[in-house]
Amino acid sequence: MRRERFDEFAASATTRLWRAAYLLVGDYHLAEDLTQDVLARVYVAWPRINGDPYGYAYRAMANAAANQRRWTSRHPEVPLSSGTREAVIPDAADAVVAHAELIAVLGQLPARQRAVVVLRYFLDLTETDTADALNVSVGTVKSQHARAVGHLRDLLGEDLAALDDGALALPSQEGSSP
Amino acid sequence: MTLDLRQEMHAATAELNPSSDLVARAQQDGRRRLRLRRQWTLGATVAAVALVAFSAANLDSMRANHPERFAPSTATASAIAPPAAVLQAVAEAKTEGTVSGPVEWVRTTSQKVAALSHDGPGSPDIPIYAVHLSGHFVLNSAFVPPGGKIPTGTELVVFIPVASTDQGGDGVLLNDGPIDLSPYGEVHTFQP
Repeated sequence: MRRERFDEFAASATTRLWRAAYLLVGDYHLAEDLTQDVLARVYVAWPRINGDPYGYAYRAMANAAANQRRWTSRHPEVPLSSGTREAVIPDAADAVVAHAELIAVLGQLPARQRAVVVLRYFLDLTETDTADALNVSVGTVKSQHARAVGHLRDLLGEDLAALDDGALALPSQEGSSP
Repeated sequence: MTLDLRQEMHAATAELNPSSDLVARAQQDGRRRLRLRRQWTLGATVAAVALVAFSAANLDSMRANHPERFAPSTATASAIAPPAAVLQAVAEAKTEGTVSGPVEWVRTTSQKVAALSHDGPGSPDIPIYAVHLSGHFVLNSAFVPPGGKIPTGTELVVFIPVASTDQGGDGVLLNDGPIDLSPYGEVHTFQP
């Protein structure tokens, strides 16, 4: 019973979690490690998770990404050669290049602002759920969100138009998420 | 000019997918962590049983050599005797390092200490003991990612469920800073 229910959760959540991890850490392999760690944590905690396993996974993801970021900043890696990432995922190379700017810009945000942006916009969490996942207050989420948007505007600058489909402005109000 | 950040992030990752064996690896990792946790618990139980057996074996000789220590006391007990589960946790902790100074413990609930123990949001609220030890601890049994360091610290808090259930409530917190258990219940102290 335990195994089947976890399998269902993992089958439906893994890709989404991995993509969120990729946006958080900006690296294919780190995202794999992060997602594996999060899924293993959920697996161990599965009998204790009475509510929404996604909420548990998002919180674990946010914590693991913050730890990863701290670890990476203390132990910077020297790449063996340029273009390694594209070489190991050739099918996705075009997509990586096309959206490299967005990934690079996200990478320049401080860890918590980046987490707020990914949780709010990619995972579509409300401010309350984002605050719960990051173990901070809703006010902190709002302030970090405002700073993140400001940073993004500064970083993207003229390129806003290049990325813009003209669909909608950055939402900041509670309940604006689906 | 506005930026549809949501759409851009989905588009940036739409063509990217994790390895096909990621879930299988995660399950394998999860099973390994569960196995380590069971081994840790089993080892601690064996150590506790050995400690109790050793104490019982030496009780008679101690009673003969120091009869004054076993005379009925007229003083009122000033502290609650630690439960067996707390003593067991201390025995477990001694396998992970050295314990110095008195041991503090409180009877509380898993939700009350959730912020301290970093427990997940779905945990049921069950009665637990929180046992705080000072000394030097090296969590050799902890999961460490490749290249990571084995956690060490000077303050160890062990969380154990009061009743033996499979509802969780167990955990370990390792820290270098001071830890105050008083917000979580009445703190009792004893010398290990």
